[in-house]
Amino acid sequence: MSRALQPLYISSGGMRLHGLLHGSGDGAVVVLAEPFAEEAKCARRVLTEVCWALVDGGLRVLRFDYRGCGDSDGEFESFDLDAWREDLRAAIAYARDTLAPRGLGLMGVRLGAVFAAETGGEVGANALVLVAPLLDGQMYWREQFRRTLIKARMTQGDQVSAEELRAGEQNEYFDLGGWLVPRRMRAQLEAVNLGPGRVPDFGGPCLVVDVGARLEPSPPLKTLAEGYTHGEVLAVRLEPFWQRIGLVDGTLLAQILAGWLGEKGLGCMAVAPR
Amino acid sequence: MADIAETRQRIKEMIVERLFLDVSPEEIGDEDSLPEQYNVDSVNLFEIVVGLEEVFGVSLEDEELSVEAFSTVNKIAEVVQRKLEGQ
Repeated sequence: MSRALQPLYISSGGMRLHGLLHGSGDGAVVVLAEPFAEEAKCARRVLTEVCWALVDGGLRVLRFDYRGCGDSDGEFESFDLDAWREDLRAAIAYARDTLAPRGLGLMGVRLGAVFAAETGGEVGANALVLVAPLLDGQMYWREQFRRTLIKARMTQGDQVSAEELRAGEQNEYFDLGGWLVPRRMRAQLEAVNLGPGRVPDFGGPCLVVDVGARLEPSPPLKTLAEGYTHGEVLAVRLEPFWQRIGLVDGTLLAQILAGWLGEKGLGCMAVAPR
Repeated sequence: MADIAETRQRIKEMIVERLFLDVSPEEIGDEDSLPEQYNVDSVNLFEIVVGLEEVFGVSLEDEELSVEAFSTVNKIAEVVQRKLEGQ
């Protein structure tokens, strides 16, 4: 399949979302739900590699910027996770109505994996891929806080006070490395929970991917995969590419994801559209 | 409790693994500057912090996340030993 790239716009909540369609033809479409804020920026190059690997495997990939992000309408701090959930549904509807795919895959990365997991069953996706999903929103916010503190101390010195930074969490907006996170968005992030017993209903094949230094998937991600009827889990030894701009070779991850989706029939077999 | 030499070795192994360094743990000197010689930046430093908590079962307070205290293996080992002694 040719490596065609088509820019497009998707309407969601009265806003215009910028999207890109990788690939052409009438094969299945994978809708990609991207990570949160800076993580999306850092992940861009590796996810582009993944998109092209899927295209080489006979798929099309629809990616888009959530409202307030990238080239989509609006300011980041004006929105929240519910708006972005709506954006994912709008992108899926666009894929179904405009691209008339022979099957629909849903792939999410980090926070996008949470959205994909929540949405997969509801929209009747044929396959679900969750790459390094956030399992615990409170832990995620704590990590973000510590990263912000370390970054501040790296650039301004160890005199940067953790206490003062913590006090900033009480403000209307928290500056997360240049991304202004409003209180409401933070509360929604902290409410994310894909822990045991919280796996959204999805009966199709689901692949959970652990990305990092481990050779074996982490126990929490194994538990998540076990929560699905047809869940699988694997570890890809790769630097967390959502933290690094342009330094990580995503070839292995791309090949694995393309291979798995192909095995599940999305790449080469017709699947009846809903 | 592990002796300081063993602690240093485990720290080096953890750093090589988590930072995907293309060196053996033995090549990292106890006093090597991690930022200058191994390009440890804020992202890597966070990885080291999380790695220490996992490998040694210690919990580091935000106030302890000092760039200076994590600049060499020797200094990191001191932090770890202090935490282990306090448990």
